[in-house]
Amino acid sequence: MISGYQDLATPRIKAILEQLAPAQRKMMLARLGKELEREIKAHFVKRDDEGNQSGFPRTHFWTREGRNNTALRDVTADTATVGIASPQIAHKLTGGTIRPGPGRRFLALPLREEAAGVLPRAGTIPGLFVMRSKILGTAWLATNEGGALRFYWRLTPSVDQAADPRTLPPIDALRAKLEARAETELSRIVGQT
Amino acid sequence: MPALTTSPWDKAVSRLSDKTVVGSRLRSAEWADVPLGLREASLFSAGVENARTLSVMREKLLQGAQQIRDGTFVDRSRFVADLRQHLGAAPGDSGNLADITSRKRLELIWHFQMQDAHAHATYKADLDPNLLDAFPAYRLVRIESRRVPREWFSLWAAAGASVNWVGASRTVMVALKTSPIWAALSQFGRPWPPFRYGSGMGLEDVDRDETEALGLLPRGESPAARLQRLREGSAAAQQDWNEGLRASVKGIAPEMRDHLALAFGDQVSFDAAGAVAWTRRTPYTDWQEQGLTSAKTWQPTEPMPARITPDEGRAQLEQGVTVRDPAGAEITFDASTLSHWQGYADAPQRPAFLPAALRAVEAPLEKWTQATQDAYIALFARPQGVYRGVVVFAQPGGVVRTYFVKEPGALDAARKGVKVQSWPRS
Repeated sequence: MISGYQDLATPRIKAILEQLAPAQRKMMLARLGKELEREIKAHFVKRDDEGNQSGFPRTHFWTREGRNNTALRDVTADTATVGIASPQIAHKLTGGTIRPGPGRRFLALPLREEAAGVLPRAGTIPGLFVMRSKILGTAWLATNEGGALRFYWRLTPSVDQAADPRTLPPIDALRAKLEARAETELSRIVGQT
Repeated sequence: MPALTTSPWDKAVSRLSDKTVVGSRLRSAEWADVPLGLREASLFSAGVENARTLSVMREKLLQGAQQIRDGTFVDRSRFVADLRQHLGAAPGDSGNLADITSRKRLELIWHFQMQDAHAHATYKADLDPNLLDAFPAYRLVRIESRRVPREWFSLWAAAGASVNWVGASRTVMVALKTSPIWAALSQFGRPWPPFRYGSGMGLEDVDRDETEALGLLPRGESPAARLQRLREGSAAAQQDWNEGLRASVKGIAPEMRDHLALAFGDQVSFDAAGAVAWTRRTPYTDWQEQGLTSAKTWQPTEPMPARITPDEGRAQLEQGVTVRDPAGAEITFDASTLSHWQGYADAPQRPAFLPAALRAVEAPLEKWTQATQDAYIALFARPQGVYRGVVVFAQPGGVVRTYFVKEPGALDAARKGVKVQSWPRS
């Protein structure tokens, strides 16, 4: 598991938590966790609105991989954890090298709209064959359409992807939101128990 | 405070694995008429009868949810590729939503099922009274852009009016999480998204301050009273949902029972009080998988047997009439057949068609062996080139139900089972 932000508690949040009994702390942390979930989800929706750089049809990566997999998970008297159950989002966060899965030699990178978001083995593009260039040291999956070559995927053994620093919302903004939430919820929790 | 371990994908995996795979050629709009309790307990895809296809679909969806839960790389493109390979899809993509092998259709299935499973788990977790205290409401928001978005505020207004605006704002798309507006808004009757196919809409938590400002909750309520109301509201919302599911499958009207029995065969069972449930069983093969032609192309083998008087038919049924099918099995039409017809508008006339029902067993075109019954399929000719199909379901306990259909193609719905026997058509 990859951790995004380990500790979002500001000194003020810690001071508030210290005032509370364990059961109240757990209540407070659940509410802070929910606030965090809400902020992260809203951030992913904003990212989704930006569109994609490739110009291919929208896959809604940030909503479907990010927002839809984000949820408040475990709450104890000491911590609240919000999980984003997506290795793709984790990869955006950390960056790194992507390699093909077991038994496969290449990754297929889409070059055309019809190839984006679909695997070559799905067979949605008929007549594919591998074309290699010794000079360029590259291979593609292409079709012959009326004598013209049409390239659909570039085959590559790995891809290096840089980390995206905007994968998660800025930590300062999150801390400010959480601190405000802690202030708001304090009197409610104390009054209730 | 209850334990709050809310890994939604654990619940999502359970939701998918608890569903019964149901094959039927019903389209989406027809599925909307199926009782909510049955729909919620089933995994289906509009127009897909092939149970093996649906079983593979469920297995792949379940695998996907498990992989997401376990943090393994998974995405829709694998689901699409796996399903297309299983279905033996022809090279190329029709791009047609009605085509189960098309990329568009398979992607829709993946996103819908995954969003539903995750949102269901989130909704359940959100009804925790402590969380409700801080975030008591949802706002309906656009989470994915669409080229031509629906008029959601009109849908909101219609749903709000249908539930008398209980817990819902008339001016903005915000309502208490326990409001009935959410289920009313949904095409699928569920209080969690997706509310429509491919809508691009989702829910956002709304905090107490904003909810109070909208007048959806009273201001200045004492903390103890507030907590009590939250607990009661949460319990009532869950109870209402569960009771709604139970109520939807009870006291099924005869017309609906007929519709369900024809559409699902013995995938559904009815108890004495008229409650309906899915029957868990091994997957059936249908006429297409068996390589048979659609009943739409059939020609009748013989004329429709002549009618008798309804009184004569009734008398025969009260006494019991036994006929043998071509394999030598004895089927007795008796009071159970009459009892099945009770409640239909034309119940008094139906016994007049008893000879056609008897003949359907004696000389069927096909006999399908199902888990709890046999289905006899016959097609007769009536004057002026009109056809009349007959389906007889005979259970081992002696209960025999008979259906008359006007369109030969409607017989296809009943043509599924673990085994089929066909007799040559002259």
